[in-house]
Amino acid sequence: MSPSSDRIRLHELRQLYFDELDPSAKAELEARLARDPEAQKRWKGLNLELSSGRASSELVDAITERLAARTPRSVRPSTHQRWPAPQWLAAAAATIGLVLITVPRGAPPDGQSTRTKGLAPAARPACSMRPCPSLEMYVKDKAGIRKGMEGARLRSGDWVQFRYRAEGRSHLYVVSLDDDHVLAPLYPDYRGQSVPIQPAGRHILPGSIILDDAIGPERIYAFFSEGPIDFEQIERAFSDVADPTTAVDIATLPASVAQVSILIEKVP
Amino acid sequence: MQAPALSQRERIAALYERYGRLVESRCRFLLRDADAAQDATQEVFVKIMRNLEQFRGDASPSTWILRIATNHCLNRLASERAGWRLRFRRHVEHVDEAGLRAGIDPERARFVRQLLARFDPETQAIAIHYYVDEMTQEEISALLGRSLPTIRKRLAKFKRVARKEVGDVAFI
Repeated sequence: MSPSSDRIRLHELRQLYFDELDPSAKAELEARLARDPEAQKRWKGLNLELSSGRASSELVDAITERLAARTPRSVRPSTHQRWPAPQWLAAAAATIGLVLITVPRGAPPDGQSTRTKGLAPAARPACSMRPCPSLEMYVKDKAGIRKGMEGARLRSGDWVQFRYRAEGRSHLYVVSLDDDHVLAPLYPDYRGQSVPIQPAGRHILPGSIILDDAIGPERIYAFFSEGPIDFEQIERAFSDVADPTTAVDIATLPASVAQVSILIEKVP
Repeated sequence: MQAPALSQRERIAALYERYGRLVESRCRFLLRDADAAQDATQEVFVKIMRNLEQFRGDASPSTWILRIATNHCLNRLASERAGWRLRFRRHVEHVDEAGLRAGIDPERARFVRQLLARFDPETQAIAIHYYVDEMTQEEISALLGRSLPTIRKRLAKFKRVARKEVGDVAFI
């Protein structure tokens, strides 16, 4: 049975409990509650459920320690190492087939390609100037080299390398964003300006990334542009993103910037 | 004369005293394991503290916090998929008891939880906010920053699967 418009909903009772309603909404809800014995039982139950959440000293210590232990991952200079033989990627790709992570052609089925918190979806697709660039991800672990697909489950110590096709763009910035809203530069691996790339053909990005031990979903974004873009521009564009692990179109970046992304899942 | 600013410890304690039970309740409901729920609750408060400055008031504080807790637990479950499918079969008394006190239909809540594994994390979150939190589709749309048609589409998909499970019973 779905929530009906007359019944006092649990969500409304919670807002009343936490005193989050404006005075007129609160007065109206309290009047409805006074007329509704069933809702009054639920209200009583909710008060029992939510009250007395006293924090012990040990609990506060535990949370404080965890907070301190989450060291910023915004710069990872120590995790970048070159694959000793980059030609392995080319050879492997030729034999195992390629997974092309491309920008979808045209608008997504529900007409939405962008999501920013509280705002209507932007109309601009992730690539407004055809042809669209692409980024391929390859993973090297104990089992060997394999293609990386959307939602790939990767582990600490796995190596990741990229191959791109810029389709006329001359600059690239690759970043990752996790569900803690930590934005980390990957290529280049510092907060600065985008790297120049080959505008034509398919090329391997030099170096590789060794994944750290943080777990959870993480989305890797590649921004291809006609001119240099700064990490700060990207950082500002992400500042309002509600769910960083869902692909978003960053409408605040210049129109010439094209974006591709891939979601990875870091597992223990 | 201004009151002195709270230290980080004091802020954590104050937040926990106000919202701790809300977060614990959601974590217990989804994780169905008291130890895992306690661990997850602490992690959720870490996330709350780290993202406090980004809270812009688009949703009410309790709704925002509940969303963080829901997403965290769903992400955790997603990384333990096999364990979750086995775990939901266990009967956890205190979860149902909390549901009864708050007047949530425990059968519906259990049923929704059992179905969650079949869906992507976003649809899971939408289903929980709709069927368990009893938020309207408009409220969910504002909370998650997704369009109303997207919310409707995801719920319609959830209902289709749910109806296949229960046949003609108008459960959802």
